[in-house]
Amino acid sequence: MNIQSVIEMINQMQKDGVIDNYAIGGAVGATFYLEPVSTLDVDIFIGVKASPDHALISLSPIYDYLKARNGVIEGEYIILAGWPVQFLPPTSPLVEQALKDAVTIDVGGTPARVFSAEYLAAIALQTGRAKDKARLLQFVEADAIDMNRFETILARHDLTEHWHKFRNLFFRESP
Amino acid sequence: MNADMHRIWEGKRIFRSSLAARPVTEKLAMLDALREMACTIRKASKRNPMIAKNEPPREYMTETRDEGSQ
Repeated sequence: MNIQSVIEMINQMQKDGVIDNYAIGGAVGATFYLEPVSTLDVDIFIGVKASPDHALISLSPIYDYLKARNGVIEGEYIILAGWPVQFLPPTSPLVEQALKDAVTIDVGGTPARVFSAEYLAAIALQTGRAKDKARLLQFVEADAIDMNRFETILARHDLTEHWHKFRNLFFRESP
Repeated sequence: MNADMHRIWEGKRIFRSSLAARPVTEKLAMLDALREMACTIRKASKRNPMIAKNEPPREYMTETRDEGSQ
């Protein structure tokens, strides 16, 4: 099992023109900024080449490309280098912007595209499951985000009220 | 023993910060190792789910065996 090999395969897929752009999100993305937390899969957000003939985005070219390179399909995942990888097209303007503003981080000589810490935190706030809330708390407690940048993103995507509620719930001053 | 919770929490916070500050390559290798461990545990619990999830206390097991042998 080796995440670095997964990143190398995705980079090659981008070079070969199968995808326009990609960024690592989820727990693996968060690990670039925080302490590692056990996860079972890798979330890769992708910009897929739009086809004027089809309203729905097809992931078939990605699956076909990776199957030809020893990828194994298991449900909604494709197993690469021992890791279940899920390819996700952007589901909201926030994720779309996060993909555009992704940063490149060097992983032992391999460039990896990753969501910025501020976008990962904003996506966690928007998604709002228990594990997303825990991740957002980690980002804030570890001082891993630039608060001004984070709050600008929230304002642009109508998440400021959500943030105030979250902050009141988890960061109230002790009596 | 008198546990100083603030000192314990501070120790945990420092440990987490030191993990977060490690090189990305090292942190990703930790994820590889964590996943391998999780997979091993899952495989073991699938092989014998009763033992992994609901192992009864030893005395109870002895009683069950005795009842079965009667």
